[in-house]
Amino acid sequence: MSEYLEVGLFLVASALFYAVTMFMASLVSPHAPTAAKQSPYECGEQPVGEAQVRFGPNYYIIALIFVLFDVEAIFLFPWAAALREVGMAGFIEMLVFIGVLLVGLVYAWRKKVLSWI
Amino acid sequence: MVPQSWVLVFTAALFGLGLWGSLRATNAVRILMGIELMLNAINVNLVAFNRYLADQAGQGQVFALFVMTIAAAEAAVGLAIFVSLARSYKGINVDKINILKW
Amino acid sequence: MAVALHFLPELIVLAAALLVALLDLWLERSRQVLHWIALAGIALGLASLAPLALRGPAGAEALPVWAELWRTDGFALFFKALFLVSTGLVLLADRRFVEERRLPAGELYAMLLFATLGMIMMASSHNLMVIYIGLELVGITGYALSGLDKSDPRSSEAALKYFLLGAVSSSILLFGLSLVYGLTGSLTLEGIGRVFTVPEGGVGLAGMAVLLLLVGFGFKIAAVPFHMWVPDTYQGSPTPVTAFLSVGPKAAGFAALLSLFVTGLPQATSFWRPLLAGVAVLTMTLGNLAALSQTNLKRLMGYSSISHTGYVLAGLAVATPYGFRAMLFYLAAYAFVNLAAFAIIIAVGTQRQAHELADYRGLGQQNTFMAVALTIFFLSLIGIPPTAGFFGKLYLFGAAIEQGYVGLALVMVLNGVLSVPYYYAVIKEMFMGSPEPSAPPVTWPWGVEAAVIAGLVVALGLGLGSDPLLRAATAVVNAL
Repeated sequence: MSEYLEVGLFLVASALFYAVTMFMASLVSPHAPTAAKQSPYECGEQPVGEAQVRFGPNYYIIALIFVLFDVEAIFLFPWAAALREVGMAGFIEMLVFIGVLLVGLVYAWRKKVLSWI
Repeated sequence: MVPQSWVLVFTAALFGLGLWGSLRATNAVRILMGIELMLNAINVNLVAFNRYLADQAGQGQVFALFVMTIAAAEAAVGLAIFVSLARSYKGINVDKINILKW
Repeated sequence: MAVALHFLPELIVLAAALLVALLDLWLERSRQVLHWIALAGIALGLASLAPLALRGPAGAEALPVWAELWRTDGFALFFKALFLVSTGLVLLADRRFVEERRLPAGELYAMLLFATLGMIMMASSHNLMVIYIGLELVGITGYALSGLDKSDPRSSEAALKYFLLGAVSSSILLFGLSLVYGLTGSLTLEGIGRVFTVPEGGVGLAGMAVLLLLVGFGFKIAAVPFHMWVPDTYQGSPTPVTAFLSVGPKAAGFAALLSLFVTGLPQATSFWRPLLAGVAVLTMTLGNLAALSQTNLKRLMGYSSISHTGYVLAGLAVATPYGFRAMLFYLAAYAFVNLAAFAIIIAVGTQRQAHELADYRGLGQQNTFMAVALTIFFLSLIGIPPTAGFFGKLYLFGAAIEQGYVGLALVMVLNGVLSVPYYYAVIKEMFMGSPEPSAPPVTWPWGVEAAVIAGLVVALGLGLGSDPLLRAATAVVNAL
C-alpha cells in the first residue's frame, strides 16, 4: 500500500502547488482590463464573429472516417510484435485485413468524402 | 497488487454511471457518451481479469482491443445516424423525435 | 485447403459484399448487376455448405487446431443455411421496392451481406469474442440499414431508436460476458461450461452475469420487457429491412443464446430456466395483446414477431433435447413463412405507399393468388393445421408437457387463440371489402413471386410432412 501513499502525497502536493501559485499571482499582479486584452486570442488577428460556429457536416464525416481508420491500427501493433510466431499464415491474414480496410478507403474516396470543399 | 474486489467495485460503479447516464440523458450524443463509459468499464474488467487470472494467452487483453474497435465502429454509425436525423428534426433531442408512437 | 473449407461460406459472403460495395461506385446505372452478385454470393455460400454437410450426420468434425474456437458441426450448418436462405428471400423480394424508392441499392445489398456474414460467423463460433464480433456486425449493419431511407424522417427515427437501445443492450451483454470471463478464466464455451455454476439462490457475481446476459440477449431477440424498440423500428424502416430484421438478427440472437446457454452454462440451468420461462410467457402474451389494437401492418407484424419470440424462448426454457428440437423447427418455419408474408407486404407497399389495413381492402378480388397466399401464411403464423406453424406449436407444446410444464403449455395454447383476431382482421379486409376505386391493382415482380412460392412450399409442405425438418433438427440437437 505504501506506493499508493506516495502517489496520494504527490497528488496533494501538486494541487497545493497550483493553488498557492495562483493565489500568489492574483495578489501580486496588476489588474487593468481593456477591451483589446479581454478579446479572444487569435494569433494577433481581430476576432470575427462568434466563437461558437456551426461546422460543415463534411467535417463530421471526415472525423468519423478518421476515427475508424485510426482505431483499426490497434490490430497492427500486437500483430507486428508477434509476427515471428504467427508466421506466413498470420502475414497473409493481415494482408486480407488491410485489403478490407483498403476497400473501405476506396469507397470513401469514390463517394467524395475525402475531397475538401 | 490492488485487491480484485476494488476493481470490481470500480468497474461496477463506472458501468452503473454510464448506464444511468445513457438512460437519463435526452440528448442523443450524451446517451452515446454514457455507452462509451459502459464500454470503458468493460475494458477495465477484461484487462484486470486477464491480470488476476494470469492468463498467458492474453485473451482478456485481446478482447479489450476488439471491444475498442467495435465501439469506434458503433460510435461512427451512431453519429452518422444523428447527422441524418439532425437534418430532418433540427436537433437530436430524443424527447422531440416522435413521429412514430414511442 | 481442408482448413479453408471450414471458412468458405464466410469468405464467399465477404467477397460478395466487398464486390458489391466496390462495383456500386462505378456501376451507378446498372443496379441489377449488384442484385445478381448479391444473390450469387448467397447461392454460392449455400453451395459451399454442401461438402461439409455431406460428411455425415454428426456434421463435419471440428477443426483440430481451433477445436474450441470454430465449429462447423450440424448446429452451425443448420443455422448457416437458415441465415443464408433468409437473406436470399429478402434479396429476392426487395428489388422493385429499391427501384421505386430510389434507395441506395449497393449499400443495401452490401450491408445485408455484411450482416449475413456476422450471422453465419456466430453460428460457427464457440468463443465469446467471436460471438460478440458477429453480434455487433449484425447490430451495426442493422442500425445503418434501418436508417437507409434518408429522405424519410421516420426511417432515421427508427434507426435512432434501434441504435440507442441496441448499443446500450450490447454493452450490458458485454459486461455480462466480461464477468463470465473473470469467473471462469476462459472465453471458450466448453471451457466456461466446465466451470461455470450459479450458487443456490442466484446471488453473487455468477447470478448477476447470467441476468446481464439475459437482458442483453432479450433486447437482441426482442423479448418483453426489452421490446420497446421493435414497433417503431419495424414501422419506420424501409420494408425490406423490416423483413430482414424480423428474421435474421432475431434468429442469430437465438443461435448465440442457444449455444451459449446450452454449451456454456449447462450447470446453471436450474437458475436460468425459470427466468426464461417467465420471460417467454410475458413475451407471448404482451406481444399478442399489443398486436390486437394495431392498424398499421408493419407495426402489427412487429408485435406478432414479439409473440413468436416468446414461443421460441419457451422451447429454450424447457431445456430438454425435445425443447431445443421444437425451437429449431419453429424458428425455421417462422423464418420462411414470415419472410414470404413480408414479400407480399413489400409488393403492396411499393405500389400503395402505405401499410394501413385499409390498403389491403379488396386484395382478394384484385389478386386472388397473393391474397390466398398471405392468408395461408397467416394461418401458419396462428398455427392452424395443415401448416408448418401448427407443427411448430405442436412440438413446443409436447416438449413442455413432457417436462411437466403444464402452465407454460397452457399459456401457449391460449396465446394461439389470442393471436387469431389480428391476423383475421387483415384476412377480412382482403376478402370482404371491395377495393377502393382509386387503388391501382398490385403487380407482382418475379422475385416476390419466387419468395412467396418458396414460403408456400415450406408452409404447406412441412404441414403435410414435417419429418425432413424434424429429422434435421434432431440431428442438430444430438450434435450439441
